[in-house]
Amino acid sequence: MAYAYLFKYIIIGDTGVGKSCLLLQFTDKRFQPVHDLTIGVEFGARMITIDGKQIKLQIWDTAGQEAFRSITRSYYRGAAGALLVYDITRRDTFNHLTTWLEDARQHSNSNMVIMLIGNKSDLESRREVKKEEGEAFAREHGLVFMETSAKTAANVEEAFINTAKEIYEKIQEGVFDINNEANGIKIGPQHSTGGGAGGAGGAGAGGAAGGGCC
Amino acid sequence: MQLMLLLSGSARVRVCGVPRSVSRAAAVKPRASVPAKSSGYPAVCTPSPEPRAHTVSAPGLAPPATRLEDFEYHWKLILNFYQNYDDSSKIHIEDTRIPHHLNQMLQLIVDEEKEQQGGTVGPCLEAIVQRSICLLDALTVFAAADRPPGARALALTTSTTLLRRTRHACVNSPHVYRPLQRMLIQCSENPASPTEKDEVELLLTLCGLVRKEPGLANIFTTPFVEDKTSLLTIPEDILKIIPLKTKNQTPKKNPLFEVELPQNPLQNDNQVVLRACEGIMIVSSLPDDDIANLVTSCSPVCENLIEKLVAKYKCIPANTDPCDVDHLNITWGYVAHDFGDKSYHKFHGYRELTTFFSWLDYCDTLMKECHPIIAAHLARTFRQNFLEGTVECGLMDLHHTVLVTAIISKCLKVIDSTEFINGYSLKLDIDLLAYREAMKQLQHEDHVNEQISDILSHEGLTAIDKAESNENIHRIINSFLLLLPRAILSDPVGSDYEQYIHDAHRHYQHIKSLTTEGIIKLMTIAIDKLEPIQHKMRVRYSIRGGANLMLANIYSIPIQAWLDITSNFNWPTEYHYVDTAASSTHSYDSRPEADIHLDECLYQRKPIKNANTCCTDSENCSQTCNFSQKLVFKHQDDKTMSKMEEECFDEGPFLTMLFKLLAELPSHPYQINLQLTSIISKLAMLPHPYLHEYLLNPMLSTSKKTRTLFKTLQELAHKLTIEIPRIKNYRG
Repeated sequence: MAYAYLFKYIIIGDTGVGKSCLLLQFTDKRFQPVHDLTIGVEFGARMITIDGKQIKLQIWDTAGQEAFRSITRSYYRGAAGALLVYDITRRDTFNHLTTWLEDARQHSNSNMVIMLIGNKSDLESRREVKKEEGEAFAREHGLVFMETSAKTAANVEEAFINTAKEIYEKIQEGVFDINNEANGIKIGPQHSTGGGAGGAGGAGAGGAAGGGCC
Repeated sequence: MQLMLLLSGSARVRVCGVPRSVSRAAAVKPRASVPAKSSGYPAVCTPSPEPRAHTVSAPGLAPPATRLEDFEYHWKLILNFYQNYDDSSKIHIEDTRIPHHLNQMLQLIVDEEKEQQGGTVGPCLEAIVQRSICLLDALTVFAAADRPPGARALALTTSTTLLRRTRHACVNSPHVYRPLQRMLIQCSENPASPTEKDEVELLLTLCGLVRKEPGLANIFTTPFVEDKTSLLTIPEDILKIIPLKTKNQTPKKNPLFEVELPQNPLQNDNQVVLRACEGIMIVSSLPDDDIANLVTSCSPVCENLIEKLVAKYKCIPANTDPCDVDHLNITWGYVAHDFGDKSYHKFHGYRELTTFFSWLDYCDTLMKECHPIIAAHLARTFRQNFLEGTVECGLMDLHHTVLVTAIISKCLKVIDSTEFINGYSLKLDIDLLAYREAMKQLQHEDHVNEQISDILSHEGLTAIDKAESNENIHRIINSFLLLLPRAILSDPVGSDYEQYIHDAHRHYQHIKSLTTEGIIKLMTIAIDKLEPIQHKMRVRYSIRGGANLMLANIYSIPIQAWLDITSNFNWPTEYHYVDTAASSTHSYDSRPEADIHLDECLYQRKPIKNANTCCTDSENCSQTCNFSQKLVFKHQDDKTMSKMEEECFDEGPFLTMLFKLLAELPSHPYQINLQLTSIISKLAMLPHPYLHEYLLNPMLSTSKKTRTLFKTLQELAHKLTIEIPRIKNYRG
């Protein structure tokens, strides 16, 4: 399918915070109430539109459990964005955020956009972490923050799309080197790179253009 | 038929231990907790009658069914289905109620687990553990018989879901793990089956469970006993958890790795490979030494991984442009999904290179994450089977040298697991590629200080006294400059020297703050001074193999960068005498001490049983060392023999190679020489005092046989002095 850009995301956070559910809600628009343990990494993809451009999101949903960290670590590489998820009804998942953040910063590229997500906002009655705390944490560490509910789908779209917007803006600002796939961004096969992006990709892209881009 | 027997047999057994009567459970009655016939499965084809819907009209007459009764009810209906199943009907399992019933049973287990306190087992799961409801046995049989069609996939996914969805699946109970074991064997018996995706998910799940509870590994590492009465043991290797993975590896037994990324760029197939890779990584990261030993000794997993690498390497087309190699940026997890688009054909050989490097990256990642024992074994295998067994042969072929060199140097750039680099032995006599290797070694080298220190003390080297270092600089520079054959000097030595010293002083003032480095810089300049010689020789020894030009991009790190890069290596900042008294003469007294130390260092790290390489003693020792190619003593086989005269410093293959190349300077193309001298000067730039001493101190007293940079240059100069007068019109 034609896309202008492809962004790679990862979803990280403690086990049971709803990472897989967020992905399922975003890609399939449904909610699965049972918790299936993720082993290794699950994969999902969806097309979104930003600024009139088709953008393909490739999302890697990682296992939260410590035992599988050996695998998830290798997926940090080459991700343009990360959703760092905690569960607003479990304080400990919030307390572990620092560790996750360190892990992510250590193993990924420095420009990676990180979105902090307090999930399960539908369970207001069992809330243990105040929204303000999440906001404060995000401010302190330079993250974007949002509370979501994978169950009701509240803010789920926004979380993924806002992250993509952030990345898109960084591309426009020239922060990301889009020709280096290690940054988790790929120029689509049908996307003319316009300016000086050229290089080896330019020739192929020009010849292939002509598809139904709007 | 067999299936029927088993199922009906189990149906009879299941009554035991269940307090409520089976008849009641089997009786048709309303169940509020079970959504009746709402799941959208076409009921037409269902052989088992489901009369529940008709009796919903009588709620309240009977007490609500317990969860266990619901559980038994669904089980009963599954049995019913099979009792009435007609083999001639072509119905697919998805068109029956079986998936629904299995789902419900799963859901009941999950629900009851939520209510259980402190990890106790609820009645439904208990029924499975007690084998009063042989759900897992049934699933095994479904998987084996695949009837109705699709039952196999369903059984596999149901088992996977059961294991993933429950927190305590009681895998340590024989009634749970036996069926799982059987299912695993089945998985390995059907190569390239259409259900391999489901198979690999089950495998991965089991790997995950074992990783979470390492105690479970025993279940999969002990031989499988079919039945206590028959004691029919399945071949040992099949059941070990690793051979289970082996199964993922061995082509004969398992297809998973046969379905390779390039041949079949379907997402599903890639997923299978990725899953298998993840499973291997999970299991090999188990912290248990025993399991790691099992992997290396009983399982061909490491060999297979490298074999795979070799195969992918061999697929790279010989006419791939070497320049394309360096721009690749590939990691294992992602590559599988990048094939669909145009980039697939970015350039000739792109697909093959991508496949190779993604596999290399996987091996590298695996080595970083897995148990050290496995990592060491993998590194050894890599060296033997890939570097020595495959790549070296390619180097012999002149047509491919450039591409091979490009690939190998790219390999060195991308790998960063310590063990992997360790495996990257310098057995290969590839021009200058080894340079990077040496840098990486030093970068990761913890023992290098002690070792070099040992070596130097052993050699009884004279070090520059710090207080006298300024005077010594003059002597050192002079020593190097005086090497230049008179015939090629345009000016008398004297004036040249003065001008040089003037420059040097300027440089020296500039970098005075860094005493050690300062010396080094001066030394570097001194060495660079030799380059004009080569320049003049260019006319005669002009370009012979322009292809080697590509080597230029192997090293592009500016000099200052070395200082930054090495700043956190904990290298000593100054040279310390180990034995000052012995420094001016050859100190044989210090030898035994040095040996003992080295031996300790070597034997500590010698847990690997099968060091089956046929190397010399020295090589053998160095292989078991953390880093194989460091500067080590040549150990004599006979320790009692008088070593005084024989013993000489082994500078290691890298320096040997450099010195050898340097000695042959006049016969190399100009570009090679430029590279060579640049490498040596950069090596000398490394802020490591022992290295400085060895490379740059012309007054170092060494045994006769020990090669040093200075001696090599001396010999070279001598050679040039003789040769230059023979060149006609040289001055012209």
